[in-house]
Amino acid sequence: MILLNEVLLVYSLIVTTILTYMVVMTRDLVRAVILSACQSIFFSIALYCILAIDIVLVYLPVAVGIYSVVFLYAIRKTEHLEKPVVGSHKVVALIVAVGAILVVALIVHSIMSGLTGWTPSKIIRPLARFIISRTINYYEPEFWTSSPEAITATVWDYRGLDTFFEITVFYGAIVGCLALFRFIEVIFKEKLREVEKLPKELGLSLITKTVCRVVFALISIIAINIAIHGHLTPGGGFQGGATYVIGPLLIMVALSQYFLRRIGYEERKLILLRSLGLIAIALVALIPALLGGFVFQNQYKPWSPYIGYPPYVDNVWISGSIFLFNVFDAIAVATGFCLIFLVLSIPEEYFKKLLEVKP
Amino acid sequence: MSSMVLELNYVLFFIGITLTTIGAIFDVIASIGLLRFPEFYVRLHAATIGSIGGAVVPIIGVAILALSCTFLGPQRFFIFGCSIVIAMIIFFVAPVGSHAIARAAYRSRTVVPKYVVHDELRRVRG
Amino acid sequence: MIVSYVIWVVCYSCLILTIFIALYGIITRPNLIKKIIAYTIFSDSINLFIVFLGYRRLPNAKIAVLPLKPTPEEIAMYEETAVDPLVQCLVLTAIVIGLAVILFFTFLAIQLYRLYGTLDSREITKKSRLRW
Repeated sequence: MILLNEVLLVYSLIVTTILTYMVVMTRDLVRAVILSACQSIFFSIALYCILAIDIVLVYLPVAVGIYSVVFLYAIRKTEHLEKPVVGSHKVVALIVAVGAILVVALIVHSIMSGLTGWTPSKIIRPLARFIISRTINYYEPEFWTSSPEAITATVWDYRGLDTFFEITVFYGAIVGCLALFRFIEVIFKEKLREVEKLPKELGLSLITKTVCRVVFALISIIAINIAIHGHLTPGGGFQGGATYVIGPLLIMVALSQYFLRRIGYEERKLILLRSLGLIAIALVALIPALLGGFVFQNQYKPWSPYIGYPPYVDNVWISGSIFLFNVFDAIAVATGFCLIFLVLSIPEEYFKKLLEVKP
Repeated sequence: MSSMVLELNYVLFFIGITLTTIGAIFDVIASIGLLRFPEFYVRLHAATIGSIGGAVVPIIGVAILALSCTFLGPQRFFIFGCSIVIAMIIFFVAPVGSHAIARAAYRSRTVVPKYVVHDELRRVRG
Repeated sequence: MIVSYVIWVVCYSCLILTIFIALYGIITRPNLIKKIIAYTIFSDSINLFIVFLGYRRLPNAKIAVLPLKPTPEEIAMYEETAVDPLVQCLVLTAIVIGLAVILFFTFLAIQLYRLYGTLDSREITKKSRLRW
């Protein structure tokens, strides 16, 4: 049988391979970034055909929005053109290419004959069957999470410790990035003070500014929507946070970054909000342990005395701690990304003055 | 033909199919234009044709098509509403994108217009 | 039967080709930002391959999102037709960790440019006097 989504999957994967080859071979770095964004769009189509909707909601703003802008900022601060690779031997390259094609054929044949076992299968693993059958089972509520969305329930309840370590790694990365660019506010404060009255020439044209203001409001509402309904339909905390940050990014490009700092996006405020979000996540995870249960406990379990978070409040279905985790994670992630972009947008001359690098 | 009943679902189905096909034709025209036009600013116009006629019109077509498919159940009204909202958003945002590209290319003198007789904007702005 | 086999062979070979081309890009291209872009594609392709492990080739395959008050028959139907949710949870974690690492790499590359004046890995090796 030929399923329609498999035809679309094949098409998007073929285009992905061609675009990857172009990304690797081109010498102009800006062109490589734009092609990599196109390749990410086709990847998202492939992920949608494979019915991984939560991953599409993460992958689309991250790969198309955040990666492209971070790389473009890095290219603006460094070089635009790659130096050519000289001295490549054509015979060696041909042998390596033929060998690579043989290896690819071998791997594909072994996968289709059953090396990885479950690709593509018609049955699922017993653990997945357990999760799907117990996540909102009113008739056997021993292991239930009161969230009809099996993926968000797995992220925050069944595999909550994985998500804890993921948040720790993300936190460590942001701390490292901010530590690399430290002491810049000492020199940058004077420039901020003298840009008190923003001249009209900063930023792009009036048309772009007007539409970007409207789109900023739209993106914020959509991001909060994705974060809040994460326990009922595909969505969640990280998806909402990653979608939110495209709004301030648009403001930074269309109206200048000094406007963004004027309307309240300062580093100290964002660090405070991020820390509050992370402390709230830690509290929601630790309160069951303090009251007698275990860490990351969501609902009542017969072997631990903690009574559990309520699945609904006043006829609104909240599914316990999952809603709280989604909201606080969205706040933490959104402010973390805004921090990265605010620090990245500071012009290079201030860093050169700080480091006193001889030209 | 005499046994064909004029039902609302048939009419909506054919309107939806027509709009989607028109969108596909616009996409083909935009691709041919992107390859064959001689200058940057004319190619930008072809790209925006693909973005408006090739994205807004088919999404409205899909919205009307979804109203006629009763096998989807009550979900088809969600598909209708969402598609109309998405079409309106693309309708407002896509021309701003091409305006930003053209303005940036002109002001930074990256692309100098080739087939121009009298450049009033350059005379005023410098 | 044969058409679906061909479709899946093409899918897997494209995916593994993408992994190999991205790996080639990390090894041979000298610019650091190009290496980071190729590493992005590499990790995303491997995540997509892991998602393939959780897919279910049925005509009525569904996402693992149940209705709010399901009856036991509906739960049994979702058990038979739903896509694996555990795999998608692990890939979500992997994407976020990859994102954190790539952000840190980019900041390190910018700092390297300030100190060495170039982003070419061969010249940085010469300037820092590390002979491998």
